[in-house]
Amino acid sequence: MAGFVLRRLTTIVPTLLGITVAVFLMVHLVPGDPAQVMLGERATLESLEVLRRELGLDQPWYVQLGRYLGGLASGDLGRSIKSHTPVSAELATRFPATFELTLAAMVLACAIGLVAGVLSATRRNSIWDFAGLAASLAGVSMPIFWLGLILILFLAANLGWFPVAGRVSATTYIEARTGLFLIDSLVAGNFRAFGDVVHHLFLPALTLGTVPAAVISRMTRSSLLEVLHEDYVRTARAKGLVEWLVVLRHALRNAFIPVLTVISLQFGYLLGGAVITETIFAWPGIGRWLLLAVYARDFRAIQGGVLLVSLTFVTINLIADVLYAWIDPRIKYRESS
Amino acid sequence: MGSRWLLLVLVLLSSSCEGDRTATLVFGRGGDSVGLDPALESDGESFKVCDNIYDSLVRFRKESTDIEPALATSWMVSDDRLTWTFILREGVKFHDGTPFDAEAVVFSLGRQFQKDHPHHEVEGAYQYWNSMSMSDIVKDIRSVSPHRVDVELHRPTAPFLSNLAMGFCSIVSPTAVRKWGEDYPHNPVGTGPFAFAEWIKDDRIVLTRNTDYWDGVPAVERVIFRSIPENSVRLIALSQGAISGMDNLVPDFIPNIEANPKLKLLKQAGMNVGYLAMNMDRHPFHLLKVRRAVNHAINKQAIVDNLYHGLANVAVNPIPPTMWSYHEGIVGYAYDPARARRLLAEAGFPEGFKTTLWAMPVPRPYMPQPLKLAQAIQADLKAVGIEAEIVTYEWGTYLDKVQRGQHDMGLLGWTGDNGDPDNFLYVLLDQSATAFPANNIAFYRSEELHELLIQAQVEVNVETRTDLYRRAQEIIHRDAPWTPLVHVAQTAAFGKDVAGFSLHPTGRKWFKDVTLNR
Repeated sequence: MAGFVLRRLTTIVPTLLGITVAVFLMVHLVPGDPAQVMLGERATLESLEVLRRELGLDQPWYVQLGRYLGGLASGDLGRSIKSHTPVSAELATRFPATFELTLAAMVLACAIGLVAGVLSATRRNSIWDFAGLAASLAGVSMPIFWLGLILILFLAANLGWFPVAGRVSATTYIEARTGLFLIDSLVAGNFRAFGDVVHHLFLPALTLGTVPAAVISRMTRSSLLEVLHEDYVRTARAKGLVEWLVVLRHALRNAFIPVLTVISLQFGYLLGGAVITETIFAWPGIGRWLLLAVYARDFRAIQGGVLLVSLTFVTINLIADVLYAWIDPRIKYRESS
Repeated sequence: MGSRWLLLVLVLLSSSCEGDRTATLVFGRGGDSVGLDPALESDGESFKVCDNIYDSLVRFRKESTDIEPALATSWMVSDDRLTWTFILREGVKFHDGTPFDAEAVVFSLGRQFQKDHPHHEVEGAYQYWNSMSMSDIVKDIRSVSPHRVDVELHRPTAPFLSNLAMGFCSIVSPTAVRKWGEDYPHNPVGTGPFAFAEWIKDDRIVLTRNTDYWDGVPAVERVIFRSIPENSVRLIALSQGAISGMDNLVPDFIPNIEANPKLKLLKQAGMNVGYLAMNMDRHPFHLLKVRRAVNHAINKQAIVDNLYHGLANVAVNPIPPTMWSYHEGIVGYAYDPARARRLLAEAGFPEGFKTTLWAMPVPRPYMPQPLKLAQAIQADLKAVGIEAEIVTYEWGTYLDKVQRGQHDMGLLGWTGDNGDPDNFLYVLLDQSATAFPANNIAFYRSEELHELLIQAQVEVNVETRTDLYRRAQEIIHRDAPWTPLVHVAQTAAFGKDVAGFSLHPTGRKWFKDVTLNR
């Protein structure tokens, strides 16, 4: 197992390198001059030249790439062209927000999806099953944008059960140690703030988690259905085991591998794509920041952001692969195949 | 015993209510600020916050573009109009406790152009200093005594005083800039009514009131700027009271806000213009009759009614009616398609002609829906025989090409900076603005206009300048290099409990006079 993990880690570097070069080329070869975009209608020849020189845009692209990769090797992601803050600092302030939202969305999605999937599978062709089918169909079909606004309109504006937007109330202050406010507020013993964070987290997490919940529920249902017809399940029932023990401990565990695949893929996708949810709920994460960086042609920010998202995605997949072996002891990662 | 418990409960309740009555103004905007060093920033959201942290030597009067004293109590111009002397206000301190004096003024302005200034080389161009051509105007700046500053100009330039009222000429604490260096934009220190407290990126910026403010302590204890990118969510937040005010209202919201008894709507003509420029370097726009025909062909009122939902005025001149020297005697070219066709025939195009109409794909402050606007104009032109193909490019590319004159007709606009007509007329229509990157995208070259504009720059007397600018507007109207389309209104909405806020022609927002009546 350790050998497997090490081998996977060594493939991460060329993967990320390839992604970095590809993104760099895309950003630099696409028409649109960042200096021009930044200065807009007020550009003068002098200010354009000064800005281009400062951004290093007067160098040929391979020189710029070389400089960037060199900086990368020493951990320097450069400075954001728009804000002149180090890209690493920009990412550090925003990534925890996206990560927390994505984590909460996945927790909700797993909770809802697994329960719905198990119910559908065990009560196949019943009203539960059809309700689950309808709900998951609705879940994948609803545009996130629309769903978010509807939730805000009804649950926040009309009923007033939840706050309208943002990560915390304007008057709440949480010392950002990890950047994950759920943890930071508990560590500081500030339970009111913790409640405030959860209160703000619920609607965006629900919005973001709807599609994964739907996908997970369908995957759980179909995978579980297959397993429930296996002989050993019949044996377990024959032994006199309680049904829920049969389903949860024996069947679900074996059915879980495809579900885990789906969960890890969804997690990665959510991390990169929470843009819409972040925009609607005014969530200060990297999704929206990355989008704005693209509009502004802030290529250093774009490169840094994409690198971070890729790194996270690759890490999650690695964790999922390790979990496969833990769930199913028959899976062994050999030194040589 | 019971009454003691009652007393305790009452005390607890009242103390918690005390906390709720903290006078905090929460302002919702569509995006976060980029940085808070006024010399380096160029986006509205950064200046929104900076305008409440800093002061300049002079400032705009409430609801007007007239100049009044601020950190300078008085000023004089030398006889040759090359040296301006400013007497500074005494007893003013920065938020970090250091004194405001001549050295601070020289530091704040000098760093933007003096190449040997220790804080000149920072990442980021001094965008406003450069675009306002301040280095061509200002030769030197000196502190003569702790409360007197002399500014020497290269040549007499009247708009200079208005430039000093702009955000980029705000006075910063030299101590703070030296202390924070490159991080200063995230740790601003000024003399203004509010001091910087906290910034959570993309979430909020918190300012607390300056209890030593020289112009009176603000009634509001805290101002919080919150970023809520989605327009409808921002409106919901306003209706719920989560924010006290917002700007950049989408026209669709207006009826909603007007109908809501808890909200009030503020509206005022903006200092901007949206226009259709005709590239006079290209056939057939070098012909006066063709340009006038286009002016007669376009139904501007319909555009204002349908695309701007009434939140704009039809433009007749390049400068908006709120600006001094506006020539109300000029009558715009009437919507008259028949006349347009006649003029085209006289110019040698009885069957019309083919051309291109360029529009940008992104909303601009003066044109929220440029492509729809282009379609409306295209239809109007078709009705008189002009076949205009709509051309568009991504915004940065669009600007680049249009500023090189690659268009035949192009939509563009301008938001004024300093309330001076020179800022519109010279920048956008003078013949010197035709070199790349051209702001004069009509490539209109008039020696007659040039002389008037140069004279108006040099002349300090306001009456004389007014007369010159009125003549300039007559010439521009006669030559019709543009079809001026609209001046967009600026809007804001506040909770009914917010009093003391007024919109300003420059679009800047100051909260020092706001009171919250709960």
